[in-house]
Order: sequence, then structure tokens, then C-alpha cells
Amino acid sequence: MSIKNPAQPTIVKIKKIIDEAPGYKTFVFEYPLAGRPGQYLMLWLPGVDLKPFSIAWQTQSEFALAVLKRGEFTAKLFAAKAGDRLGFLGPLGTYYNFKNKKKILLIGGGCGTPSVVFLAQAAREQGLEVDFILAARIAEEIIFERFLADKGVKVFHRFQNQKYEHVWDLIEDKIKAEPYDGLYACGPELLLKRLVDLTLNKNIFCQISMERYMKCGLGVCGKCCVDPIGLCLCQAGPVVTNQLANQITEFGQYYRDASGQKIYFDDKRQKADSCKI
Amino acid sequence: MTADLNVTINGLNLKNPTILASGILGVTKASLKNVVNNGAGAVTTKSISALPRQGHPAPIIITYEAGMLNAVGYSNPGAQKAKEEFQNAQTVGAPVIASVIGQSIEDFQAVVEQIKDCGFAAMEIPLSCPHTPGFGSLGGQHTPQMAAAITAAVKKLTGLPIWIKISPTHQNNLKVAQAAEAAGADAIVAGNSMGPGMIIDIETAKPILGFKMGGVSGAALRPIAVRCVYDLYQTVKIPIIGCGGVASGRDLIEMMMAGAQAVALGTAVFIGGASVFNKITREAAGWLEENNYKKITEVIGLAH
Repeated sequence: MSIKNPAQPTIVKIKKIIDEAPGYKTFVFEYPLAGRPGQYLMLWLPGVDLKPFSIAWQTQSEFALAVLKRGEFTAKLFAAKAGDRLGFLGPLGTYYNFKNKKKILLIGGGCGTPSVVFLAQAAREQGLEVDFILAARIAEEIIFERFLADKGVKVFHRFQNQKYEHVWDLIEDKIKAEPYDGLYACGPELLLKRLVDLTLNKNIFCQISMERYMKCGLGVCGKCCVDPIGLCLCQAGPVVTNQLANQITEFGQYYRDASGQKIYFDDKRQKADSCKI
Repeated sequence: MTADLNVTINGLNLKNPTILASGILGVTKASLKNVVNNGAGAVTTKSISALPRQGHPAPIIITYEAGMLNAVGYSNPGAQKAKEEFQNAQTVGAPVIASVIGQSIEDFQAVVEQIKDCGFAAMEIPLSCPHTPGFGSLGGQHTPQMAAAITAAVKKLTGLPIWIKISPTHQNNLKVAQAAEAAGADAIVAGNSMGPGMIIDIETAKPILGFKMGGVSGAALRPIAVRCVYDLYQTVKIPIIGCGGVASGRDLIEMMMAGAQAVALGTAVFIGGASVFNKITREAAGWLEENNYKKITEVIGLAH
């Protein structure tokens, strides 16, 4: 038996830490990762735990993870300093496909934003026209606006224009007004669900990054297995097409927690737990 | 001519002798179905405890050059949720074996009571987990006395076949198997992962697994599991399910020649994905045909 060995962490030093917003930091590592937009890493805090994070951007020699402080793990990660050693498994999972696209719309919200930020970077490097809607509850949570603008991405959010009370109205207006040949999004699941329904209806190419509790990242623990297709989203995802998302009946309904128990999205107490790492 | 891969254990018909081992991909009914669609002869659920468990911190699995270490820590949603999840388990398309765990005899009984009418084909009782405090080896369950007591306690509650999963390495494992058989066990699964072992990352000077130590499986375990099955074949009369490092059709035949009537796969599924079931059964069928065996059952115990 030959064992392909992605299952022991690669050790890297934190090169620098950038403050993006209150409770939001970017951790930059010196390492030629060669990941693809939408892929993620399982980040290892030695002696603590292992958690999934989307790649936020990369260069030939560096990559970055943007982390929203949400729970115990991220609190400990925020205590790390430049020079500290961490480990990672990856890059893992599926990625966004933007081959032959010309003008695309990206939507990023909360801890889902970094996943599409990397796509924006890669798409601009290929010369695509990229519009980006940043979804946030308050203006202070808008991140990567400057980073994206510097790459030639047109950034939109509802704090630019008092016209929009909900980000969904902004999204609908943009889709009506512009001839996008691809939509890509990562953010709150109920928003993604609306987007999948809309793009299927209008027959627009759409991929979303779908979050599930990924404990091992290796397709074994089964916490991210989705009903009724029974595939692990840590490998069959996180990026899925709107068609595949539509086959996943639990999409927009529930996910499974660390014990495998179903948590329904309408249960407000536990709504954001999947992100609380 | 295609070799016949069917096997029968405790009256259960398996279209081939491969079984998904407990702990891999067995959280949901949908994922079990997916494994059956990939060719498994039977599937085992992730272990079910009386109450929900979060399991150990991650990493819960790491590989190394000779196999794998795991310390998952029995994460599961508890018997009540498992009952909802696995309702009508008989519709999965192959026999579904429920893995039942507990920290006391009453725990085992509580789980069996909850899930006994879900449509499971059998129940597997692991007495041998090497890395979860309170359970299996670390819960003092791997003794002839406990094996007999737990087997008898669950046999009282259900007519389903009871399979007892033993350690491949503990010195008393044949005695544990004999005690279980005498108490009414219907089959022995041999066996669990071995160890526990540990792998340390030398850059950060930390054990990698979240629980620091974990059960060792995969290629390193195979000769030990084969020897254990071989010894058991001469010790007990009830069927033996081999488990440990099987990753090819040849490995499968080897384990059956040692005396196994069926073979559970864990690490191989981790390394090769669910499609490994089709790969292994195809290889085994090819070997049987080349060597003029008509039925896979002909090789059981052939090494004795």
C-alpha cells in the first residue's frame, strides 16, 4: 500500500499579521502553496486543534488566510505572533471554475469573504472583468475593499449608497443591470440559497462555496456528508455548482455539528455555529 | 467464468465479503448508501453512544509511511438522534451493522434499546478502542469477564446477531473472544486498531494528534490482524470478521485464508476513497478465477 501523504501537517512560520477590521486579521505565510481559488487549508495550531480556512490570496512565494475571530480556536490563533510556527494540510477541496468567462460577479460575506477574494485576484490576473459585492452587517465589517480596488475589481456594498437596506436588493439590481456570465459566492447559507434559486431560474452559471463542519478535511469523519447524496463536502466541495447545491436537500435547511447532530438554520441560537471556530 | 463472491454470516447474505469498518463515513444513512453503491458487501455505522459526543480535538487522523493513526474519540450524535438518522436502515441496499459503545453495561443496553428496531442487520460491540477514556481498552472492557457480561446483557435485549470486536494485540484477546462466544456472541471482529501510538512533529515539538496518541492501522497492522484471525480460527467456532490493513484483493484472500468469513476495511477507504470496495472485490474475483476457485468461500481457513 502506498500512502499519499497529505495527512501530516506541513510546518510554516507566520511571516506577518495584518489587521483588516475589528476581529479580522490576515495571516501571511512564506510558502509556495500553488492553491486554486476556493480551496482551503486545515490549519493546525500545535497542541490545540485543526480547523478549515479558505485561502484569501497567494503569490509565487506567499499565501494568506484571513480569519474572523469567532470562537476558541480563532482566539488562540489571534494570540500568535509573526515568527510562530503553525502547520497546515492542503490545499484541499474543489475550486471555482472561471475558464472562458468574461465578466463575473462575486459575492462575499463574513468569514466567507476570503474564498472569493482569492478568486477575484486570480480572475483579474487572467484579465476578467470582476465586480465584487461585499456583504456586511455594519460598515466596519467591510474588508479587502482596498485590496480588491487595487487589483482593478469594482467593489460594491450597501454602505456606499443608502438606497439599499439589504444586500440582496443590491445583488438583484446588479444581476439585472449587468451581463454577467458567471456568479460566485461564499457567505451566509440562506443568502447562498437565494442566489442558487435565482441563478437556476435565470440560467446563469453559478458556483458557491458551501460551509459544513469539517473536522478532518480528509473525507473520513463524515461530519460534512450532505443529504441525500452522502458525499463529504470537504472533498466534493466546498465549491459546488448551483445544480449540485440544488440536489443537496439539506442546503439552506441544516448542517451537522461536531457530534453529527443536525442543526437547523432556523434555530437562531445555533445559527452561526458552523463558523464559530 | 466469474467467481462467486457471496458470503453468509449469521444468516446475513453479503454480495461480497467486504464490510465498511466502523468510524469511516458512517455518520449518515446517505453516506452509507454511497459506500454500498461503491461496492461494499455490508456497512457499519459510526459508533453510537447513549449521549452525544464531540470527540477528540483535531487532528483526529494522520498517516505515516506504514499506515495511519487515528484518535477520533467516538464523536456521534447519541442514540436518540442515531435512531432518527438510521431509521429503515434496511433500505441502504446492503446489511447495515450498528456499532454500539458504552461506558457501562447499562449504557450498552440503553443504546441497544433505542436503536434495535431501526432495521439493522447486526450489532457490533467494540471492547477494544485503544484511545478513548472510559471506552474499550481504556474503559477496562477488554477482559473475559466484561466481554461475557456485556455480551449477555445485550443479547437479552435483541435477537439481532451480536459481533464482538476485540483487540488484535492484547495478550488476552483469545480469552476475550472465547468468553464472548460462551456468552452468546454470534461473531468476532478481529480486530480494532493497535497501540495506541504517537507521532511527534519535531519542528514544533508537539504530538500531532489532538489526543496526542491514537490507534495504529493500515499496512503496519495487517500481519498482526492476520495472525490474530488465524489464532481465533482455531479457538472459536463462531464466524470471524477480519479487519486490519486489507487494501487489495490479495490482502482480502489472505485474511480469508487465515479464517475470516468477511473482511472490514477502514484505512483502505481512507486512502483510496469509497471506490476501493469495487477495486478490491474486482481484484479478488480476478485472483480466484486465475486460480480456479469457483467461490470465495472456498478459501476460508485454507491456510490451516
